[in-house]
Amino acid sequence: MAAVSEPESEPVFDGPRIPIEAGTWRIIAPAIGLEALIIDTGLEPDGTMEAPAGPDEVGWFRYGSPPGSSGNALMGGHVDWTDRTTGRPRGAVFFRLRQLQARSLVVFTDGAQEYVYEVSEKRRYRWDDPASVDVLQPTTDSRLTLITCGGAFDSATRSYDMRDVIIAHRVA
Amino acid sequence: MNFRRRRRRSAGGVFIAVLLGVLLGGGGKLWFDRTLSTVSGTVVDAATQQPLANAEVRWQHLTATTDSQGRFTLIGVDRELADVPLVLGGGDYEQRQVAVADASVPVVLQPDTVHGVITDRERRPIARARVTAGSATALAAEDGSFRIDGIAKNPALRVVAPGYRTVNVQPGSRRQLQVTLEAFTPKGMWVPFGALHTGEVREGWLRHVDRLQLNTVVLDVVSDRGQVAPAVATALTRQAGSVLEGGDDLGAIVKELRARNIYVVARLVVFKDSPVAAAKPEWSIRVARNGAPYTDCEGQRWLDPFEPAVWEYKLQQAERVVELGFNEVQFDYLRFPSDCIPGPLAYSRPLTDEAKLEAVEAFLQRAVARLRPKGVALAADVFGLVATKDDIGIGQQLESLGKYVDYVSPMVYPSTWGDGAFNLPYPPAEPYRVVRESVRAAVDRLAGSGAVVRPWLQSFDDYRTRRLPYRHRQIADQIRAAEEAGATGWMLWDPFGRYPLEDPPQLGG
Repeated sequence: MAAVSEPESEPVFDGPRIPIEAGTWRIIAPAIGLEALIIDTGLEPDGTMEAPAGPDEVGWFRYGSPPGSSGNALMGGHVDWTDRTTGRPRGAVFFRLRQLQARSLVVFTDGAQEYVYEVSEKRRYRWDDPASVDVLQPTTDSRLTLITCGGAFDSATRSYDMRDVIIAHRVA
Repeated sequence: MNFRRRRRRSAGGVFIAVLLGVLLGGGGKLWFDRTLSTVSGTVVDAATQQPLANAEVRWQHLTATTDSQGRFTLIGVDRELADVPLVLGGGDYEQRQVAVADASVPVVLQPDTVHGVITDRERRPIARARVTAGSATALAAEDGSFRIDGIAKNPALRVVAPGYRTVNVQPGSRRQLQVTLEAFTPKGMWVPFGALHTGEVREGWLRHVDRLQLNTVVLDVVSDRGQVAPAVATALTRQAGSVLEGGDDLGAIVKELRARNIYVVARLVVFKDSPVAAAKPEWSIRVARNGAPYTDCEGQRWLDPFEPAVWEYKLQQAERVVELGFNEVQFDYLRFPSDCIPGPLAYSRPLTDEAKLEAVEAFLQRAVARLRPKGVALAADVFGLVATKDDIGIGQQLESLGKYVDYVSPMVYPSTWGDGAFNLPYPPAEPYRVVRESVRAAVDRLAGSGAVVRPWLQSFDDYRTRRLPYRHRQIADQIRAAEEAGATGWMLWDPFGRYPLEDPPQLGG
């Protein structure tokens, strides 16, 4: 995932600042074989959401709500990745995120407890679509918003032109 | 009369007689035209209702080929031999016999052969797809091409290939088909007998279909306790008392699931059948020392895998399963016993490792001959250990099974493995590694066989020393590993037929 967009109106991030206990938070979506460590991410210097530094982790945006609680927990992950030594591309942690369908299971665990969500919505935005800021807004329900890159790769900007978003609501 | 008798014995004599007839008779007016004459007619393609060119017509040793107008002429037919018919067709058309007297009526021939090419949506050929029509079968070549004969009576084709959705094709008047198969990765779960018969449990299971994006269900029709669904019952199982109560609506359930586009697999346990082994002691495996019935660690008796009557009984069960509309018959316990063996066991044949493999293959050969024409896929469950080792003395060898079935399903449960296997201190703690290595080995060994690997994955807690919970994470790891290692789908095995973290379904009594 790269930056989601430059929103016209800044979303309000007022969730609790809960540090991730290293190595304990994970996200799982059995239907697509997704099982990954969640790391803590914040903002890039330009004010956009920070992308995880590696291909195999999912970044939780620390200014959103924490997963497992009420509110909108925002997470981003790369869709693919070029190996720096071999130069070969490969799928990254959210490579198959788009294959999730409505009612698919997504599970968050903090190491002690599991929180079960079901996919309720799939969305796709152009990277610069101002409407994409909607998915970053705080909510009163308990949801995960998972974001990755999609569409066509622009080798000049080294970035995809779309953002794929999966929204999952907590059911247990 | 003497002349004719001689003629029948000698083709040369006839040739001379015909020649004479032509030379001397012209219009057939000379003395011997009473017995030899010219027969003409036309042949029509039943599918197109057009004249059929190049059709072969024979009478005794005489042959002719139809022209572009479908016309033929046979010179030298003996009309007094009224019981010898004309034989028309063959090749790509049905063969028909027509009385010489009826030859003036156009003969309609049904096309009997279809040629075709089977590809995926990207036009890549699908090798070894199986084409069936009635009792006729054909296997697609490496380039996806096939030719199937003998379809005049059953022109509907069914194309089955592992990893693709089965399609039915009505060739109509087409003789050359392009068949496109849609890729299909069976992702399934085992559901215990009866679980789909109660509405609440069925709804719970159907929720798993959405949550795990499943498209396949494996239903027990003959369980590992030998219990059979009523729809599969025979006189023998009734006598053995192994017919389950309830669940009379299995056929309706299969129909409903298929209407939801779910691929429905029947699990049929083969050689572990305690009730029938008790009812038919002569079919059972015995302890050589004392003649007592062999019982495994679960106290279950087994049937003798060498006994042809056992094969027949199991194939009759399988045929009933097919009639219920299942997409696939999955054979489980298609092997020799492996546990609690108290010493040499007595079988109807001397026991060697080769003989064990032969017994399993002999059963599968018959299964292929009997079931394939019905257009079902076949599968075999095997021990996870079989994926990475050669036969482990139970008559299961991947290469041997791959010759007959579409799907080979190793039970790659990480809890199967002892410490140190795969260079892992405790394999159940590394589900991704165990499944990846096992599936990769099986995929390599079955490459080019026509069978694909669709493993059973562990959806139950570890039963070894550390008793690790197997939850969403371990299952997701196994699914990812299986897919990365080249599996064509997977199935979740949970002895309660639920999914971790769900309440066990209440199997109503």
